[in-house]
Amino acid sequence: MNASVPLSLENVTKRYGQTLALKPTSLHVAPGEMLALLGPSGCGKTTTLRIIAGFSMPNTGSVLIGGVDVTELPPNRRGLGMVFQNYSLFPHMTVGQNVAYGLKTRGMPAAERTKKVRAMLDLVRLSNFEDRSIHQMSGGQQQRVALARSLVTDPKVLLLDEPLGALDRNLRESMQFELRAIQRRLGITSIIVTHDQEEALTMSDRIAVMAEGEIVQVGTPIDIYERPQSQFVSEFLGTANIFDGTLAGPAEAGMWNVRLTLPNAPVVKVAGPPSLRGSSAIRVAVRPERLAISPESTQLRANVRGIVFRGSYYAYELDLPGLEKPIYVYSGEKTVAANDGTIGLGWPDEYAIMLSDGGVR
Amino acid sequence: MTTIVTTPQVIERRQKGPGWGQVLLAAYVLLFFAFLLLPIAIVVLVSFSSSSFIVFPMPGFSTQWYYRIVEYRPFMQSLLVSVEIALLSALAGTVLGVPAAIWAVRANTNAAQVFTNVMLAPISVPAILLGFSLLYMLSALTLGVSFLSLLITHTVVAIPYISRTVLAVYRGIPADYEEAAAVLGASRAQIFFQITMPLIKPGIFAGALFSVLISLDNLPLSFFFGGASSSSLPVVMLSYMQNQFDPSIAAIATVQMLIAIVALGIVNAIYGVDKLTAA
Ligand SMILES: Nc1ncnc2c1ncn2[C@@H]1O[C@H](COP(=O)(O)OP(=O)(O)OP(=O)(O)O)[C@@H](O)[C@H]1O
Ligand SMILES: [Mg+2]
Repeated sequence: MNASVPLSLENVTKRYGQTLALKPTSLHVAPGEMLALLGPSGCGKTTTLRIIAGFSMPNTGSVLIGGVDVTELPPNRRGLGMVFQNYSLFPHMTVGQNVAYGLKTRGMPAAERTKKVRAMLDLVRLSNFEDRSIHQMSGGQQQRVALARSLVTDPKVLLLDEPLGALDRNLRESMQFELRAIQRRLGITSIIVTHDQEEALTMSDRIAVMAEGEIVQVGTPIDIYERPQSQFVSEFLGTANIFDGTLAGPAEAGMWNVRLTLPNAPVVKVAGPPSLRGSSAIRVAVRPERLAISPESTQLRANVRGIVFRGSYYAYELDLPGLEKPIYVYSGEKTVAANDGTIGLGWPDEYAIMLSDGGVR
Repeated sequence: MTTIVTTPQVIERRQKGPGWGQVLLAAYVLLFFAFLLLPIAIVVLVSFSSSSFIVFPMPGFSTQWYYRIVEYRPFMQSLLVSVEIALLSALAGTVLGVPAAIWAVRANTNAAQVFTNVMLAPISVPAILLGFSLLYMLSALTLGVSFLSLLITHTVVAIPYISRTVLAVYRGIPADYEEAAAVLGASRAQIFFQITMPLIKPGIFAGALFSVLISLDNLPLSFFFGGASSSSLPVVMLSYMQNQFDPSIAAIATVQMLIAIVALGIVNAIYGVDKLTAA
């Protein structure tokens, strides 16, 4: 196999009794990349991570680290680093002893160990905490000790299982940037498990979105956000307004006319693959911040149900006749509805996203 | 706009004294401790009696009975046997019981569940029955009435005390610590000695302490194995009381109690009893 791929999964599956916790999954992580495994609770993120770490034996398939098949290797011989959700710092050891542990198991002499531990504690900005007990550290500090402990052994791949889940919001955001900066500086290939879409968007080079035991889409954060392939992905990452329609024929290059299933059957242009034909059912998603509203008349008119001020923008909740769910629009300006209480709705063609399927679930 | 400032009137609130409930509670607590400690206090008192019978109130003060128990060889010899058996059975119980507990917690099988319950068997059957059947079994194994038989018997009872407390402590420790150590390159042996052991130490201490105290005081099991070199203190005390009724029995009982208190004190000094009871 290819030695330049730090980590790959080849058709890995995992079954617990009757439930297939992981459907056949393949994944390749590039050198120095931070890949996020993102998905709702119970979708198989931890299962995947535990298979990579070696705690759980896959039913089929292989795990390769640096091109070497490690599927049969126990966790202590895989040369990985891992940060646990609750840090799992050894309570009977000091900060320094915790960080040194991975070097001790490798039989590194004490003097050399101390030097490496100091350097690593400097990196995570905990220079003078070596002799502190774990109980005397705050949540954010413990998080950094855990990171130092996992990095000091120069692991081939760093695994992070919801590493920031236990922190409060402000700390979380600053740790996201710090963690990312350290990861970039060391150029360490990493996999971060999270069910927080914002965290995945801020921290990773690529996101693998998981749902019900499989990876449904892999791509850069922009890719995933701007071009979700399924309704599930469009709704899991951010908010999406979903319109159903039918294919009405080709428009100009790469675009299709789609007739929306709404009272006066408006036709919109949506980019889509050339392979479409007939009058197939089409589902279209538009992000709230891409929708434009104006008091003037447009193709679509909606009733304003509510407007909420959210600091940097206004969130409009609109009722579009013919749609069950409300439409959400995020706009920087406050737009006044027409005298009849309605508002015009539209979007530039390039922001309509054609979903390939009805989405998972 | 005008603001009218008024000095707020200071209202003195009457402070309530202790109510009836609190008085009753204090009386109850006092009574409770009297009930608990009075019999023990009387035994200790009587051991310093000048009378040759156990009578209370006692006619005068004397330390003669302490001289008597030191001179009476069976007391001293059996005390030594008791202490040896208590310590050795706690040690053997730890060596045998701790691995069993560790397996029972982490092995996620029905067998482990059954085992956890069966492990309690030695302390849930009547001790007389256990002693009796162990006598038969050990005799069949040609060990008969001996120090080794007595040790084996006490170990059988020590195991459930130790493994149950270790089990409870270990259950509360998430597998994450051991997994974290594994990812950091630790072998199974390293994980056990460097991570698991330090984490379950309170359980081991507590269990071993319990088993020592139980063993020191155990009569029904020791009774079956009371030979020349293997009579424990409670057995000798019982047979002594069948013939004599002088306060030396109170003196040796006081000594035995002192040993238990010292044992607790030592464990407290090196570990802290609060940690044991928290486990
Ligand atoms: N040891 C196990 N035994 C049986 N079923 C399990 C086990 N571990 C996980 N599962 C099941 O496998 C599925 C995936 O679980 P997993 O822990 O990977 O989810 P997750 O994506 O990490 O979710 P969360 O965000 O809640 O942590 C779930 O349906 C879960 O119930
Ligand atoms: Mg999980």
